[in-house]
Amino acid sequence: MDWQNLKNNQQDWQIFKLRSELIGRIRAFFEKAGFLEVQTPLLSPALVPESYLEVFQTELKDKLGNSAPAFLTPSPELWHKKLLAAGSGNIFEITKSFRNTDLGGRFHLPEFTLLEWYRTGADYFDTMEDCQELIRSAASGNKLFYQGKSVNLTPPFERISIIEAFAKYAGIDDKTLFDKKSLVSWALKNNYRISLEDDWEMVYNLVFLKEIEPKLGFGRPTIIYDFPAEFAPLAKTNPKDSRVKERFELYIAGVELADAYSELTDPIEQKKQFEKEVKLRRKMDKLEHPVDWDFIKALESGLPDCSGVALGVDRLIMLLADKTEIGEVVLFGESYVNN
Amino acid sequence: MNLPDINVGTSLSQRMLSHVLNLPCTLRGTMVVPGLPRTATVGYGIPLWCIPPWPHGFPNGTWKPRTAPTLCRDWCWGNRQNRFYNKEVSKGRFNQVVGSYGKIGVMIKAGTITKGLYIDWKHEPTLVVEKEFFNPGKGAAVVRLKLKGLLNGNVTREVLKTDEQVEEITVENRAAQFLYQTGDQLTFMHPHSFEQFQVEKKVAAESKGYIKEGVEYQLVIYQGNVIGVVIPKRMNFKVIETEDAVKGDTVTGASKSAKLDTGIEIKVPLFIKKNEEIIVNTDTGDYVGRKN
Repeated sequence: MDWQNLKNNQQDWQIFKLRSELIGRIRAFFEKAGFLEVQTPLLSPALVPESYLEVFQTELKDKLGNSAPAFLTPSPELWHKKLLAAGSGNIFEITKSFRNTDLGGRFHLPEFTLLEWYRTGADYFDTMEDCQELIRSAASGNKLFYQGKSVNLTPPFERISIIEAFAKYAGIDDKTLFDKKSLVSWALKNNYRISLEDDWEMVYNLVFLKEIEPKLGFGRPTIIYDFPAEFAPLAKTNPKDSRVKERFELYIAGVELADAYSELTDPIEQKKQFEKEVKLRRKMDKLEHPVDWDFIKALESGLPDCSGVALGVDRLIMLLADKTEIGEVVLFGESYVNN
Repeated sequence: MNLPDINVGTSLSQRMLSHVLNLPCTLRGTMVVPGLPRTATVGYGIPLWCIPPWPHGFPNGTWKPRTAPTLCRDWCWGNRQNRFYNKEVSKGRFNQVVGSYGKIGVMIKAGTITKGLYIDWKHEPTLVVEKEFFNPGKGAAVVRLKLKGLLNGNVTREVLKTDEQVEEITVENRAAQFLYQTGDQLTFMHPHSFEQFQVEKKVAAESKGYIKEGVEYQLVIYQGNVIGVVIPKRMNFKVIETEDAVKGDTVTGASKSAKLDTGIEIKVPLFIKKNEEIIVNTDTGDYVGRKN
């Protein structure tokens, strides 16, 4: 939303009044729940390697002309876990995050506002409860209308595991889902454009995005949980089913709003995942960055059991203001697209 | 044949291509042209493959450009290593049958598709209405597209791998003024050549309130049929009906509705009066400013 647009459409200030109120309500919610608000850096000399992220690089310079690389943080996670290891207790932060990805989509901006919170002594079922309460108090009502559809925000939200969702929406049972051959042949039968060389993750993604995601969160919000292990490198393995890890996502009206884990606390396992991700990044030809090994040290010193959630604040405002483009709810958000 | 204005972004049709190269063929049907790549888009870093110099001329001297096309000076030069060249062609050997030219298009990766592009989807000209990348946390990114079939008007959602090959179709953009409407037909005319185009009303159904006599639009033409009408981003309208502002009402941000000369209603600031000319953003339907 640029200034000229606002000048000519004064009613659009409503969106930004709502935005301001919403941030206030989020703060009030966490204050009441006894969380500590933290502020962490946006610029970091090293990052947590995540193979799917494109990051922004910049340079730090001293007076002698020496320079060192620095990166805009794609998520405040690396700081938060160190704080948790240092004994912060429950924390939350409303911050900017940066991902150097595609422009022009309806739901993505390279710079966006993220709400991240961690609850200690908790697992992902506890943060599911947090999500429910937070969404209801943020919306300050029990109902939400998005694109002509009404969503009832009264807890409990719908809860469905990935395995159940594949069975319900695509008719794929868990044996087919986790077996590459059978999943590929299912997809080929259903006119997916794939080949036998495609890896399992790719086929899974295509099926998930086509068959399942568009059906989530209508009528009432959906919490979809227990993701395949491949899709949750930073989460704890589910003790009842080793094929899945303790991760959930929250959807409202087809919009992915939040992503959460029972956080991995084992430094050895975490180090292994780091090395794997670094290799993957190299393979995918993504920007190489120094790895924040200090993060592993923090884990070694003892990360308490905790569950963390990242929630897209801009998307939440899109839902509440009934807007279809993320640029409409972010001040100057369209400038990326137009310039 | 009338030449469209060639700007960056212009897609060239087969006929256009043959004209530029002075080929003694129409490139219609299943004519096979040795050494000729499959498409042409000007600029945007997308190379123009087919512009001379052909290092060795056409094979056997059968077809060769009779004169250096004068239009070329406005065009970008292509990188000859580019995929638009058949491998053999890039080595300078032109005696290759590259393919059939019954249909010209270019294969592009789904990841590079942008909103507003025309592609061949299941053998139908299709407009990309929406595109979104997804990075699901593992595995390569995928794109989700919202597609609109231009013949049947069906809107579908598809999910593709970013490296999936999709055929971008060659469409012609022709500038044309709207003249008049008769029954279900809209009549447009090229401002210089006076060539007329009949467009079915349903093609422009979504932009109904923005079709105005005398205004110049871009017609999207595919295989001789108009499949789309592109509306200018900003258009002038005359306000034909609106209430007068109440004196003393100085609340900032207040707006009122106004009826425009094409019959649509939009929100305008209070100071706008009847019979004033205003500028409207046709993408969003928002008031932009007064016409000076």
